[in-house]
Amino acid sequence: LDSSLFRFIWKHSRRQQLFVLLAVLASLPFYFMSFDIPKRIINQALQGQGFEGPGSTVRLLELSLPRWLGGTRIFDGFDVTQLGLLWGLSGLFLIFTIINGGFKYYINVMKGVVGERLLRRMRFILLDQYLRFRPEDIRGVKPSEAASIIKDEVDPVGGFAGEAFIQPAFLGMQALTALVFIMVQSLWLGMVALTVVLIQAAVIPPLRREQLRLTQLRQIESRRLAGRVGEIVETTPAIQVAGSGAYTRAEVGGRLATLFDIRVQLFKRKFMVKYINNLLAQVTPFFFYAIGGYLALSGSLSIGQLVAVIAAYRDLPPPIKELIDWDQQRADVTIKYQQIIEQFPTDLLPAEAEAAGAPIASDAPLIVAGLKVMDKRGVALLDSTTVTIPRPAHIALLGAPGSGRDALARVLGRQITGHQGRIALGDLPLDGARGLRPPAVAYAGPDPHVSSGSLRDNLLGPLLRPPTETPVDQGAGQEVTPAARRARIEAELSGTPLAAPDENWVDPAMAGVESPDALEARMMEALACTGLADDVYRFGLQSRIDPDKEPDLVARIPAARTMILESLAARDMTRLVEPLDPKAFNHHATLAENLLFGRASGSRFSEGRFASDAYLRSILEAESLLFPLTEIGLAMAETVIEVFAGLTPGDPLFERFSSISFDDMPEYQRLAEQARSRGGFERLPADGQSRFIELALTYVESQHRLQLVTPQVERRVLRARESFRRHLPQSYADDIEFYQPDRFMRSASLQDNLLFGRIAHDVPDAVKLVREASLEALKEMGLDRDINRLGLGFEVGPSGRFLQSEQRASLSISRALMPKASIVVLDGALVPFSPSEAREMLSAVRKALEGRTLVATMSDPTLAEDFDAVLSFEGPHMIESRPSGRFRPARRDGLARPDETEDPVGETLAREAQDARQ
Amino acid sequence: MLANDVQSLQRIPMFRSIDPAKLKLIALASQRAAYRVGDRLLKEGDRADSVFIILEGRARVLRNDGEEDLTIAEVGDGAVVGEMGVVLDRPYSGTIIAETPLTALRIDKRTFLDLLNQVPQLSLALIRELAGRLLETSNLYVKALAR
Repeated sequence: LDSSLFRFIWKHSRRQQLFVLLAVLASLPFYFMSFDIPKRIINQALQGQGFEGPGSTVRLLELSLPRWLGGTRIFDGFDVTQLGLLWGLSGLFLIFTIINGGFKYYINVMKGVVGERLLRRMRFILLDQYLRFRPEDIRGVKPSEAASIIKDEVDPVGGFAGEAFIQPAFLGMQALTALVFIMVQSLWLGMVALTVVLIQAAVIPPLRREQLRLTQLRQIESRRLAGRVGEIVETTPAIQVAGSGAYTRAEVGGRLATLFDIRVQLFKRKFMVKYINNLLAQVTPFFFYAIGGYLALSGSLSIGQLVAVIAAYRDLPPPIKELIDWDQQRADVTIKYQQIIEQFPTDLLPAEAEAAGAPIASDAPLIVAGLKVMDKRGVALLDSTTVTIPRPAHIALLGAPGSGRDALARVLGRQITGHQGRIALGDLPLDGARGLRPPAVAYAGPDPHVSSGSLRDNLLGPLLRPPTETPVDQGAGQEVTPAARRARIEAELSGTPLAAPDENWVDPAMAGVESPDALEARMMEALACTGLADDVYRFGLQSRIDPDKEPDLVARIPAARTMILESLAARDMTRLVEPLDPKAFNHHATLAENLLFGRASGSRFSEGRFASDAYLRSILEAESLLFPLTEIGLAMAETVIEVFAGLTPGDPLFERFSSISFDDMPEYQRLAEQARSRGGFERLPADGQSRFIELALTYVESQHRLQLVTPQVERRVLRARESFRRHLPQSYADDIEFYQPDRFMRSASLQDNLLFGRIAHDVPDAVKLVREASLEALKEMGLDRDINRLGLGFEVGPSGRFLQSEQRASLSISRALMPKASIVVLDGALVPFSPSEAREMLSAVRKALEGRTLVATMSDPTLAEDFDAVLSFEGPHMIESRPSGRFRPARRDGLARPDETEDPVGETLAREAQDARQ
Repeated sequence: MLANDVQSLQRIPMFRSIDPAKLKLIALASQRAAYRVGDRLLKEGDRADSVFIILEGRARVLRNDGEEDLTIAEVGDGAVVGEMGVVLDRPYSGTIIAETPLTALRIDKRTFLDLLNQVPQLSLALIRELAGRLLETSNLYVKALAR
């Protein structure tokens, strides 16, 4: 961004601004004429000036060049009578009004468009700048503040951009035209109008200075509040546990009070300015009526002139007022603009660009020479380190967390860019190896960043590169829609990328595969390394399918169901799945499912709304189920209250096993106490009863094991199922989809459609065994790929909130495995896993990266045992660099291959490290 | 049935000192599983992902000496198995096969570790159990040396 707002605006919208200014100039003659015509209507058409007698005529629309241009007549005009003149002039007045309105419309639209283009450009530039922050700087930026800057703070700046040049020119010229017109009619009245304008110009701006200061202060405080609110939302669980909510509330209350005080001060200033403006605007007509009237009576001003002057004056204050407003806005947005650009450091990373030249050779050694990293306080994170490691190699960086291993991994993963010394792959410095296809480095760090979108979107993230051709660039024969062409022109005018996000950004070559089809398999391989492939398969089975989008898949489901059942029978596993039988109670399904024998497809039977539905309630009452269900709900609530007493919110056991949310616990406790009091059960309010029934409907006997569903309850539920279906009102038809073995269920998951039954809760490993048996059948039908495809479409939620922390960490590692990077860096990425899981995962990752280079940090030496090279760290010092396995010590400059010399390079390197320290 | 499970747990020495409400939590957080004769509860070398509390029935503990599976022990009502692998984050050290129809509470690793965090009495009971086994092993070792 340019340091001056006006320079920035001029630089990026010069042509458009000039174009609009031309339109402004073109509008002025019409504007002037629209003042002149009323005067002629009064003086000539009404008072008969210029008409010598009845029946005489005058010329209308007689057009001649000015005298100084020779005075040649261009158009003779028409002879008209007094009445004809009235009609003619009135018609002209109407035409000029329409023309002036048209000019205003065009100028306003163009102002808006120019402003919006600049706003678009600014927002894009700001986001681009954030993308170019050094990793160490971006960590200091509060996301909510950055969002506030890009979304809200630039808005007025962008809005102003369209008016920066056009508005003063347009309004200034309008005011000048009106003033000149008044002066031409009467110098005295012109002087009065000018004096008022000058007073306004002199008095108002100083008054507004304080208003500006307060606006600026308010912006800073609002931004701080936004940042703090973001922090509070992120740390709410910690605040709840620490019990510091009261302080947090008080702190926010204080900030809100500051904002209130500033706003009150602002109101006072703002309305004082308005008051003075209004006063001046009202005083002027007084002079016009008094002085103008006197001049008219004394004969030095005609009535027509006076009326025209008053009309012209009516048009004078708005431009002047708006000019003053513009000046205020100018000062305001200039300050905002300055504040915005001050947020950005000057040492940004260079813009990403496609790197030219050959890709990095797979055997280019990793060279670290005198590499030193300090933190902002000047404390060494990595002491001067020198080592050369031939590639490909699997390199372990061994040491305690926080030691030099982390700094080296982060420099390699480009998470630290401010360092001394050199780090290179062969001749290519790592800092310069940007924009390569495939990339030089892939990185998974200790904080797995997951973006909203699907698992697929996250995995393909590192493969996104600008499409080589946009539709507009494509040669003849390619249809380019006018909308696409317009979008491209607008993108060019606003300096934003020409390629649309819905184009094909995924470059399969980045992953080392040739076709987009192979990417799906590549993703599953990467997910298998981190154990996430099973989850993806599960997500796929749990997904719901739109038959209109997946007709082929839906068509194959009946056959697949038969095959799965056959596969289960062949393995003597039929007891693992209890089929959904319309005539039988399913012991592994919830009471709600048993009751409805179907899936809720509308909002009527969504979670929490079952028990309050009048129709369902009437069925429950008719089948004498209200009382037993309330009893079941009450027993469930009592169990939860007893078992989870004393647990804190967010406790993993509570989250996994409680049927009641933490917030609802006190209410259930109160209702349970009331129900157990003498006669309390009968006196339970309808709402309380509904809550217990709602809870009871989630009950599964084989899972909850409270022995609450007796054979009698089962019989009543079956009767209720029958009644519910038989008497279902027509208006409920879209709210439920009944289970029908011969039909695809749109509102049920793919697994439900495939099994048409419930997996037993009381058979060990039932879920796993059923999955294995069905996978075999599904593979045979080629459906496993479809399920994985659906699973990859699983939406992970904002920042991956729908995933568990381990799944996020797995996804982060899998994502790093997607591009065929020269080096894959795992920097503390395995920390969320248990040692055995980490070992297993590391082994799978190493297998996947055979023949490529992996750098992994670890603190357990046994994990590093068969790595090709091990660099050990103590504090910021590299204390040992040990070749192991196939690497034998070789040259002074580093490690070498087994067939090279036997010189103890490990010692050499350790010595080098020692030298560097000294 | 949950109540029966709690009663069964109360009869097991290791769980005797634990508050009944917490025993209910343990039972609620477990899966009650019925095994048929010959069913395998866990397999030597597999990742230890669950702890089993045998409520009813008997099982054989097998260990592979490199060539064949040898029965090294028999476990029955009240036995807790698989906990060492889970705590040490190591694969199971033996295979356990039901010898009679068997009912067990199965607690997955994550839940078991969370329970250890939430129920200090369970942690203490586990430490006692493991210490007892260590003592037993030491005694056997001393006896073997003496022979």
